[in-house]
Amino acid sequence: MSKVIDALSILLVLAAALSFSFGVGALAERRDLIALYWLVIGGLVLRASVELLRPRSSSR
Amino acid sequence: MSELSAVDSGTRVGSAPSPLRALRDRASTVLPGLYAWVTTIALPTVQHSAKASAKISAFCALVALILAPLFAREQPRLGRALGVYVFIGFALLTWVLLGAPLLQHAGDPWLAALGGVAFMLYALGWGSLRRRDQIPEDDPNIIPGTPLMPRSRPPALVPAVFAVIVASALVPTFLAFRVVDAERALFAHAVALLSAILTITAGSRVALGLGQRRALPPTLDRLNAAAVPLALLALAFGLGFLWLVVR
Repeated sequence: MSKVIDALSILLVLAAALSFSFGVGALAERRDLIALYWLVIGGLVLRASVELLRPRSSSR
Repeated sequence: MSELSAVDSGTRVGSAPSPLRALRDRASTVLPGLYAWVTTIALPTVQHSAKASAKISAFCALVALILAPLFAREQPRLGRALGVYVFIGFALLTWVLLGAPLLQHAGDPWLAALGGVAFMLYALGWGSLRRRDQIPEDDPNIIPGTPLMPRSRPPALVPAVFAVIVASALVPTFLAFRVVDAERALFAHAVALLSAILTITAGSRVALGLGQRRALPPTLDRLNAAAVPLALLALAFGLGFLWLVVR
């Protein structure tokens, strides 16, 4: 199960990069709201991936 | 002694190599620097009616770029000053002096993007990575004693995972060059840079965490910790879907 979570966290990081790419791509098409949406999604996905790897409660 | 520590202490390292050998040893720095200079400095300077001062500044940047490796080994502080501060300083001065011709030079976005990557490689080239054939324990300044052994070795998968993450983090940087409007382009480049930093930071933690399985908390704790961002993510996707339906 731990390996599945590791794989999920890697996938989430890649998904975050993809979301950021969509956001910047939307900026190129002058769709500012869509860009903002994808950038927020990217930030949330990235946060989830980090929390999956090392939960804040266990940090020293 | 690493080059960085040599720079910090300002000491001389080894004997002076020939200029050709110095350039060859610094090829990983000079070649990206030359490419960055050609694509982002020389082309806008040559192709437009640029001021003579901009052309002189661009030439000075090239001279600093070529001279820096010649001093990097014998006088590392001077070499670094030429390669980093003088070269980048003249590059910035050239862009400022170019003014409108630089903005009018739309050029090929991919060429500009590759120039940006070349600048990044040039910056990394001035780092202080240890050479493959150099053994730290052989350094005369090393603290004597039993060498410290690593607690664990990362799995072979880690470099591959990290490479994929770095490659994916660079995608927004390339896409930012597609943005045409000046204000949006500035914002896009800032966002792309920030997202690349965040993705590589998080990705490095994720990749290195693969080799530290014992230190990780139980699976349920990890899932619970990610519950809030995942719930917000689900909410955002729901709102997005709703917006698509309503629109």
